[in-house]
Amino acid sequence: MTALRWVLAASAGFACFLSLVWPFVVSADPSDSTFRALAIGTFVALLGSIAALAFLRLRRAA
Amino acid sequence: MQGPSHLLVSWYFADAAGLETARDRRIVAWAGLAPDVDVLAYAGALLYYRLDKDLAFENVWRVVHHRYTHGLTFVLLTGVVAWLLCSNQSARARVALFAMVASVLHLFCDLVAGGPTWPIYPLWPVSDLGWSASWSWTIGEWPNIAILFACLAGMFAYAKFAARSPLECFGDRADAWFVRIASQAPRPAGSERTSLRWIIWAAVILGAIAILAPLGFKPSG
Repeated sequence: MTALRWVLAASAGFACFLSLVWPFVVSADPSDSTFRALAIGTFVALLGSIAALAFLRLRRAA
Repeated sequence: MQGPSHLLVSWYFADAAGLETARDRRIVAWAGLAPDVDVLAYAGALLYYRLDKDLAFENVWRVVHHRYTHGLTFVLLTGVVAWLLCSNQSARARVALFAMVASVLHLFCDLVAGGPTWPIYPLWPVSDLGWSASWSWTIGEWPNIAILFACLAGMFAYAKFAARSPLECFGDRADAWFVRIASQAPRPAGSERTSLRWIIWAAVILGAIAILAPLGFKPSG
């Protein structure tokens, strides 16, 4: 649970960076392949960690 | 992502982050949907242009959507509002922080899953740079539909096993009603007003329309 929370925190933090900071400090190219890989990876990690934490909570509640 | 998906993902985020009270989760969930408040401008434009969708879209929605509410300024505003709404003094900073994160996650989800034609404006009004990804999938594509259905399935699972659900965004009574349906518990006598039940069903139907309308669903074929 704690490890998953860290994944959630890291992916949420990195999502903030990609959304608000990346175009100003790295590249504002909308077809940037590095950005694509990082963004999709972060998206999957974010939703995956939320889903995994929800599953653990439900299992504990059941 | 669709509006309901933003709301549900934000509620799951609040729950995963360990917010214990329904009110705190509710604040964070609505903060996650808040950037789409600019839809009110479109609604106003529809009235102004006498229900002419094309005029409202071209003159208002295309200009307004994402520009003023999908950036850091609005995120900070969301944090201030969450701070003010939180009744628990000791949790205020935490709730405000999670509300801001939920709001930024909305921007991130729109960046990845909102389509390439709707950029976000991270530093408006300081910078007018629109930020989008050319590969971003659009609102009706399968990943967004899959996320929406997973969120809806999770809603039922939460109601059945945890005796609460994302419907607590609409109030404790709406949540109790849904939990009772999902867990097939008998209704306590005289516990619920008939008018409230109709209001909830109307909200469910409006929610379904809000989900299906952007996908081009036409019941008549």
